[in-house]
Formats: sequence, C-alpha cells, structure tokens
Amino acid sequence: MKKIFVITCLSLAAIALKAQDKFFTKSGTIKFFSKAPLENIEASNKAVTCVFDTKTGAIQFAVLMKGFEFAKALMQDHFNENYVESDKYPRGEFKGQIENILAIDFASDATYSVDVKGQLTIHGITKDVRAKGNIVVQGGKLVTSSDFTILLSDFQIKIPSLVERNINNNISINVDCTLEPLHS
Amino acid sequence: MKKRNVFIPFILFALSAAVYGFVEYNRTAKDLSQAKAEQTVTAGEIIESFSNDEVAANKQYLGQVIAVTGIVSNVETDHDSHYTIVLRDNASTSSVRCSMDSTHIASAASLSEGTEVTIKGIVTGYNADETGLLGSDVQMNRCVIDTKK
Repeated sequence: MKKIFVITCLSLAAIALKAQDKFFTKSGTIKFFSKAPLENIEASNKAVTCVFDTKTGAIQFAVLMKGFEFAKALMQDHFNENYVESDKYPRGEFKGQIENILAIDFASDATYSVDVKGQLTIHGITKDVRAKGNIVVQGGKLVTSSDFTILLSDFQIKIPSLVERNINNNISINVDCTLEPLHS
Repeated sequence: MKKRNVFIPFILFALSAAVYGFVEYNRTAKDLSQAKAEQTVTAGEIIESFSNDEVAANKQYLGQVIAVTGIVSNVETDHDSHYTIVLRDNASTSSVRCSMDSTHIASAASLSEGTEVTIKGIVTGYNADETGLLGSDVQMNRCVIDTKK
C-alpha cells in the first residue's frame, strides 16, 4: 500500500515537473511593417499562439492570416485577397528551435538573447529562417520577442507590377509573446 | 455649345470616380456593433463544424460577421489592455477566442466567468491543436458584445 502511495506521489511529481517545462500563450502579438515610397504598410495580429518547451528548446508559433488588422480596410482586403491569399492559405506557422537553450537559466529573472532557427510557412511556402530574439524570465513568465526580416519573393507573394515601386519586398516582422507555464 | 454638353457626363463620371476612389482608399474597418450578423450559432456548433471539417467550415464562416453564443470561460487582458473573451463549449477543451474591439473595452471588462453571452465578430479561422495540450480554437476578431438577442 505504502509502495503504491510512493509511486503515485512520484509519478504525480514527475507530471508536475514535466508540465512546467512547457510555456504557452494564445494571445501573442505579431506586427509587420514595410516602408514604401507611397505609404507605409503596417498591420498587427494579437491572437498568436506560441508553445515553447524549455527542456528541448523547441518553439512553435501559429497565426491566422485573416487576423491581421490594418488601419485601412482596403489595404487589409488587398493583403488577404491578392497577397497572402488567406482563403487558400489561412495559417502562418513557425516551427523551430532555440539553439542556445542551455545558456538560459529559467530559474532566475534575467534577460537572455537567443538564436532561433527553424521553418517559417506563409502562403503555402516553407523557408528556413534564422532570427535573433530575447527571452526575459520574469516572475515565472517568459517575455519573448524577436525582430527579423523576410522577403515577399521568398514566399512567392507577388507584387502586381502596377504598384511594384510602392511596395517593398522587405518586410520587418516583430514578434512579442508573454508565455505562461502550461498546467496540464 | 453642343460640344460642352458632350463633355459634362464625362467630367461628372471622372469626378464621381475620384470621390469613390478617395473614400474607398481611406475606408477604415467598421465598428461591428451596428453590423448585422450573417449567421448566428452557438460556441459548440461552430467548434464542431471546424473540428469536423476545417476546409468546409472555412468556406462557411471565414471572414464573415458571425454572432456566437456561449458561456464565458475566461476574460483575458494584456499589458495594452487588449481583451480576449474565451467562450467554451462545456463538452470539450476547445473554445472560441474573441479578440475584442479596442473601442468596446468597458463592456468586455464587465463580463464575468460563467455568464452566457452573445459575441459578434469576424471569424479569422481555426487553430487546430497539434500538441494535444492547448485545445483547438476558433478565432474571431473586432468582436463586440451583441446586446440584442
């Protein structure tokens, strides 16, 4: 009887420990920005899902393309219909790895700079990307952020020739997610 | 005299096209509190449609103004005071996540867990849970609380 109790306690403790390895959010923010001669293009999405495993360094993001909000409705329509074709490709995804995961001490509050490597899928096209980011360990939460640039041409997002000069092929992306421990 | 008459319709046309173009160019997203919902469903129904067949559900709901009725399971807020109301179907871990319109913060903040509410918003899609830990979500944005039932 005692044995069973000990085993139960140990396995429960193991589950609790395992659960704390993972952090997540469903309300992260991704913004993108593109500087162009005619006007700047800017949009944000505040419903980003992110799961991060502190043990393995595996990190995943998912975002719904229709959830990007622009100041101008026409720009948003064009983004969805002509550029990312969100009816056909509703989701953007990143699956990757924090390479210097061992350098982070999740037990002490501090700011760590990280190198992220992985695969980004937008518009049905998957590309290898690398980015630098920050993880701030703060009272049991992880504030993660990253800035990187992608090229529209890498993801076969075509710019109509009529507006070619008005739209920049370089898009700056800003990711900002506050992750909380996942209790399963 | 006759020549001028010929040009007037063209000038009027060009003018109205310019006005239309200007208005359309500067159009901003509409506040949904005045918009009519294209479909009315319960949280359980919309979650089921998406989990059964995402492609078909995308065709049926994506980008449309939908009124969803469900039980509030969580009211989330972030450092920018952006509110997300989570509606749950009591049968599963899946939920409808409603990202609230920033001009309707007060009504979102007044909601409490366990109350039934109807929320109107634009369906932006479905995040199927691959990890088995988080539960899948139907997402909506620019949400407002639907006061008339």
